[in-house]
Amino acid sequence: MHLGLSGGIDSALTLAIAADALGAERVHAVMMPSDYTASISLEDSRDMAQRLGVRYSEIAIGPIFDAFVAQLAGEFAGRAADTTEENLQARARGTLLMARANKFGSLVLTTGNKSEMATGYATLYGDMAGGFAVLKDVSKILVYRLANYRNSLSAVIPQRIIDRPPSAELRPDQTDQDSLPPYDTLDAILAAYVERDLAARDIVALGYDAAIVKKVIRMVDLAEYKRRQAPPGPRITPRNFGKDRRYPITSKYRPERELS
Amino acid sequence: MKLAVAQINLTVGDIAGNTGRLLAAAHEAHAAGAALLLTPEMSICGYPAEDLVLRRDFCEACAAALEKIADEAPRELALIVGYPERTDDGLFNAAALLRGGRVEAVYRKHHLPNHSVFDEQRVFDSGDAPCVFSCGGVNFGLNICGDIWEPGPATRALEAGADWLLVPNASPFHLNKERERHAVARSRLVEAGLPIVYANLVGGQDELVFDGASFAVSAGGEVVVQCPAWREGLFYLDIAGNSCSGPGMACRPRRRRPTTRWCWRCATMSARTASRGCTWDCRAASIRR
Repeated sequence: MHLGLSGGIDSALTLAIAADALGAERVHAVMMPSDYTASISLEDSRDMAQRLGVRYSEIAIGPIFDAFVAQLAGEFAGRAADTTEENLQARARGTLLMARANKFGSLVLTTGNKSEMATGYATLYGDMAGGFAVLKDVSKILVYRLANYRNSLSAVIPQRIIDRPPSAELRPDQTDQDSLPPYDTLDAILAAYVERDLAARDIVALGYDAAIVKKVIRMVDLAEYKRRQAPPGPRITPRNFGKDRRYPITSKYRPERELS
Repeated sequence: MKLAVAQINLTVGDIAGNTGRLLAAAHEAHAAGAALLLTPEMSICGYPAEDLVLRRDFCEACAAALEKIADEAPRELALIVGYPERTDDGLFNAAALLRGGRVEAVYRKHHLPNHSVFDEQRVFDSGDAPCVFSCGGVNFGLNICGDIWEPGPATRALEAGADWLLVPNASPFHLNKERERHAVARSRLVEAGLPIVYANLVGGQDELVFDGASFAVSAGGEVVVQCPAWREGLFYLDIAGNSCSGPGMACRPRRRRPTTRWCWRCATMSARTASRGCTWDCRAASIRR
């Protein structure tokens, strides 16, 4: 098995799970840095691969990304850079991981968690490319609990990975909270909407801001088309995406509208 | 009498491999002095086999495996195995009693779960007859997994003369599932008054992960035997009348359920299973550090 190691907590936790499941000698981590990759991401990735004893390689994505942008320059003339260019970086990484899967007959583990799968905070054919999604039913809050649990057995995840604010590192100084509410708020709203099927007004009645609740519900509903193309992952909660929560992709039902 | 619970990892579609595992468990249980071996739901074909059970060739291979197990298991051992039973009456989620070299009786699952991750009504027909047999002086009734999550089948087993309820399961893990299973077993006890032996699968299958954690509930409603979660093994229960004990440290009831640790076990078990689905060798890779 192999996976992309980013220096963030999700890929670090996925790597620790894979190494515990299969043994370090059967797991390979690939770090694929770009210009936006912080130096501590690189340091922490190398550190973690060494701590676990897994195989590790680095493949820079700069030249691949530059070639994409150069070839698209005519097509995109007059348009500013946006999430398109961010996603191209993720897709360059996804392509490299899938090439490795082909060449060595290895399985790609994707590293996205349930909070990301719920909101669609992931790139289709990018970080969603792979065969199995170990954290698919693990919310970000549970990701931290699992990381701390694993480190209580032996310190395999560098503490800095756990402590630093989460970032996709797809543009300068980006953090997850540029696009998402704080994870404790987000996960509580997701639990209410996804796992308990609560109405928008009932989620607001739990004490959450109506504008945030509206935004989260809309994100969840719009991401159904991505989730339907996502790899499977183990069911851990009483309501997982996949075999359990099955929603239409095309739907005119807008449960957040009652809040306007 | 001594009853063995096979809490083992059975793989969907690996009919030959599962047959070997079931026969090995049968010989081990017999050698340990067990009179009866209970194996998980659909133990011959794995669970959930999904639409594979709609294939005639698949069901025929399972039926052939059933005959082979009946033929090759120790003759003195009574053995409960699960399989998809295809007949002129329909397609059933079935459990067979094998004894003396033959299929002695077949129980067909009544309540087919069709909610959350389950789709059994999509492929199976519902059975309606109880199945009670005697072994070592005790009358055992069969229910399969979802049968004990609703009233009906347990009472039918009681009316057919059962003293104990044997339940083969493929019950997937989610957080706090063990508590739900114990509660369901107790509600059947309230309904029918029958003590229960609950045997569960262990291992991963696509999105589902089976945690084992088989158990027995006495006529008094106590969880008297608790097998470990996430671990394969044969676990032995001594049954006398309507009381039961499980010797050994492995079978003590749990006071606290370690949720974070179990999430970890669930994730690692699923990753291990996913790795079976592919062939590869990382050592062939050129490494740059």
